[in-house]
Amino acid sequence: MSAERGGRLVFEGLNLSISNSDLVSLVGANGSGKSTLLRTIAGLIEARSGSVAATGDQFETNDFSQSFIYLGHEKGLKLGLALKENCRFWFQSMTGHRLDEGNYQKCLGQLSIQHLSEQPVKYFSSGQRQRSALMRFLLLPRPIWLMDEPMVGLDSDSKQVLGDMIKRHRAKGGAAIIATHDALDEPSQTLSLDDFQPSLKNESFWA
Amino acid sequence: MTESTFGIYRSIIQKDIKLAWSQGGTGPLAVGFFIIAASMFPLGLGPEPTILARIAPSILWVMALLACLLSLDRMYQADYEDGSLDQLAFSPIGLFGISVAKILSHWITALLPLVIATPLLGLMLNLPASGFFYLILTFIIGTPALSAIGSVGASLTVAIRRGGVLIALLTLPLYVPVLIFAVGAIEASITAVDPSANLALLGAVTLVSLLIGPLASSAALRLALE
Repeated sequence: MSAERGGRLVFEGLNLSISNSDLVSLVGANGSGKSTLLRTIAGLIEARSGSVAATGDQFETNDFSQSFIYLGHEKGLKLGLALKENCRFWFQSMTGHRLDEGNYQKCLGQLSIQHLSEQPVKYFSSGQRQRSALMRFLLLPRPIWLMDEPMVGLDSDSKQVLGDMIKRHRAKGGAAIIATHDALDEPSQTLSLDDFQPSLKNESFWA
Repeated sequence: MTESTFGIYRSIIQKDIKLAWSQGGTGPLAVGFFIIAASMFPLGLGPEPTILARIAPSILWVMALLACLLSLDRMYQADYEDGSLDQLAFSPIGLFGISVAKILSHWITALLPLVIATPLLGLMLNLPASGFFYLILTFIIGTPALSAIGSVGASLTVAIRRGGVLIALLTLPLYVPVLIFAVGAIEASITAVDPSANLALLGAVTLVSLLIGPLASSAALRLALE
């Protein structure tokens, strides 16, 4: 697969296959295309060449594009709304159903942000916002997690919680692709995007 | 439409209404501008009831177009900037459904208050009594087109900072048919001519906009997400 952004070829010749319980650690220098790859997998960007495909029984009954939970650089939280409203509206826009209160409280507890539930997100610190964004992964069970720099702003306890979340997700058979500069617990693959930089850059061609 | 699809639309619209009418939202801004700007005309023109009555329909409609423009630039941009649009793109209703929901919520938050405020402003502008029914009717029929056409402009400029002026340049020319047929219908009713031809054309403009608006908006949003 290759992808371009803003007319610039970001990576090429990339091939990645994942299966149940895989954890892929995406590494690479700034600008090497980690976020572009995640957004391409998620279907937000169209690949310049190549494609993303899924096989398996579960993808025959469910739409593949409904298999992801994505967390990008921008958290997608409305600053004026309370955490609870953010979660409620997000959950309902994904499923059409009401958010189950018991499940919501359980997820809050896992990330230890119960005390923030009724507060507007604009008063949160960046770590608290990051934890609030991570709520999505707990609220809705989806097989593939796509996380872009999920460790940013998290304290060591929260990193531990995130590590546990990923472990439980893998134990249930879920897969995760995580772009990060930090070390992850027991990744099953490490993909370095530095290895897939375009061989023919405009600069070198014209030099 | 299944129950869960309905739930998705409802949640997006509820959220937008809540945001638009909370602090810094566009709802009160649009209707406030509409009322204040339209009230400037009696002050500026002086006590000339006949002139006011003559130009009242066009003042109200032009002010409605401008008030609508004010509310357009945050229609998608707020969601684009904070990453909400990325999340919405994963919704089962897709970007087309998102555009439909956004057009609906824009109409409810920004334009429905204008529809409610027009009779009052009509009184202030000395609109002849026979024109009131058609004033309200053209607002009800015509304003959905403003949301749908505006949605195209808003989605095309979603990634541009300070894109408000560009939206005005893109959408105002497309608002011209709405303006002509709506004002035509009101004036026809005042001069006791049958306004149904103008009304029918206004309805046609709205229907075409409602069809094309979500299609074009979703294509533009798809490009903006890259």
